[in-house]
Amino acid sequence: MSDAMLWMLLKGTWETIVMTFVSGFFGFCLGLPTGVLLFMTRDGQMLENRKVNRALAIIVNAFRSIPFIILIVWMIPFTRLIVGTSIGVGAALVPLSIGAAPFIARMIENCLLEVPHGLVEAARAMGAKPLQVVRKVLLPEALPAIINSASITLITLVGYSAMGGAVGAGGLGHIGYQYGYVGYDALVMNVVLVLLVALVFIIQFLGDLMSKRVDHRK
Amino acid sequence: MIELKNISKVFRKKNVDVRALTQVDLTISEGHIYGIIGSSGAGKSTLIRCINLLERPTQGQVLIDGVDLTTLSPNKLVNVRRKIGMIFQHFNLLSSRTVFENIAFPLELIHAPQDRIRAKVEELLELVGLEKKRDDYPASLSGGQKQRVAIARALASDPAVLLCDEATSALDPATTRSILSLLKDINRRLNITIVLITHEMDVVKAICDDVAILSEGKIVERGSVREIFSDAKTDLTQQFINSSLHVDIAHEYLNRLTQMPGGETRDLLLKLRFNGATANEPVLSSMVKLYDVDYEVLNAKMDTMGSMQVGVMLLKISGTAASTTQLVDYFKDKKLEVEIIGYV
Repeated sequence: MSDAMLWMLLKGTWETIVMTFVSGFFGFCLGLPTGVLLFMTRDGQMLENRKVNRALAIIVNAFRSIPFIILIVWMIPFTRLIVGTSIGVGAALVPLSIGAAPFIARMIENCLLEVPHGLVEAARAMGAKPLQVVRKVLLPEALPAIINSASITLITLVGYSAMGGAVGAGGLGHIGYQYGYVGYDALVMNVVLVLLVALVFIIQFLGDLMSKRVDHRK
Repeated sequence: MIELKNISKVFRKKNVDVRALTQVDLTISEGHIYGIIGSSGAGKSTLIRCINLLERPTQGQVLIDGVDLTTLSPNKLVNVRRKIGMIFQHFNLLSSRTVFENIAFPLELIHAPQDRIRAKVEELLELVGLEKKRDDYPASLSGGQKQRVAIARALASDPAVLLCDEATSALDPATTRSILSLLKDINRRLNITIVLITHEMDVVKAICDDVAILSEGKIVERGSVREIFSDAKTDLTQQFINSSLHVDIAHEYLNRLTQMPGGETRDLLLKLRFNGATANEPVLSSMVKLYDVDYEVLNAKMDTMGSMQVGVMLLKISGTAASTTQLVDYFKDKKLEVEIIGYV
């Protein structure tokens, strides 16, 4: 394998990492508040509000049902508006973040549902306001589960970003597509696969480690 | 101090109304320990949650120091709640926080300065005897220790009232006693009004001044613990009292038990119930003198409620048929409650 190829794979790996983590970050920025709101507006919760809950659920479900590869294409005009281009790492971040957000929102909602209701009740009895309950009870108590969800989300994003390679996103997916599918270079394709597998393993390992670190439930 | 007026609570589940509480009136005086006892499903939990409006009553008023909580804005309600501590059957400690941080929680909510938080938490750790567990996480504590942390946390904001929701139901008897004596101690030292709900008469007996008996969402009887124990008006109350004062009949006797009097060949088995008025009289020795019978105490339980002696006793009496009949009348005469179990 030539130096140029090696260099390209290295750059591709870096791009995939950037796409995964940056879109993961923005995805969380959108998904976390949405998930919290989905939870808090459920029946029996502190901000119980059926209308808001329904509306949010519809939006979340709608975005979750769009296949990712179609979402990328469908969002091209919006992506151009925001980053000025529809090709490359920057362009991939927009649909990746938007695609991940509803997924993250549902994950967060599920994590919060697992926090024992008694804790919320105790906090309310002590005079905690809704935002205090979220910040000081729900999120810290759900943190181990949220970190696990984050690993799952990031791993999904690795896959999504690779998929995005077919329609203009950069990174390992693009290399795999160009050299593996278009050029049929088995070596490059396999190296790309190994790199992706390694990346997924590392994310899962770090996620498990961090989740265990913050879990004091024994 | 706490007054519940005409409280009703209806839950709507799948278009069916479930009445949890019906027109409950309750007055709880300052500095008292008030017990609310009832079997499961009686509405106890709902009732105690109505006091701090964790459950909003469908109808009625909750007055604390004359202020009707049901009319307060959410913000004002939050402030009132900060003066009402609450502890729970399952402790509800935050697993992500150490003992220290758990106790500090209510103070963080009001943005208390760090040095004040530290001083207060350390004082409370000492009060509940957990100075050494300061930096441990709840998962490593025993049930009793967890409840102590919960008590310390409930006291952090200097509440005037402490609500206890089945606070000892998940604890073993020895731990229950230590938690109850801690509550009593807190009540005396800090003059905190305590409202507790329980299904165990032993808890009421151990620390309460007043008690209300709740059944199917209604209060069927209420009064000072002394009054209720010495003169229960309803069967339900009597059942609760019996559950804390009961004597078992050994299998040996149960197997031979018949309802046929056998004169001198069989002994009479009877249960005597004492209450304050009669417990001090030497009825047993007078019985022997008056009716020429022999007796054996098979099982007995005596207790002091306030300044009153109450108890129950299982007696085996041998004598002639005539003397045992007279004997039963004698006990009734002495206002003792007699129950003839049978003959062995």
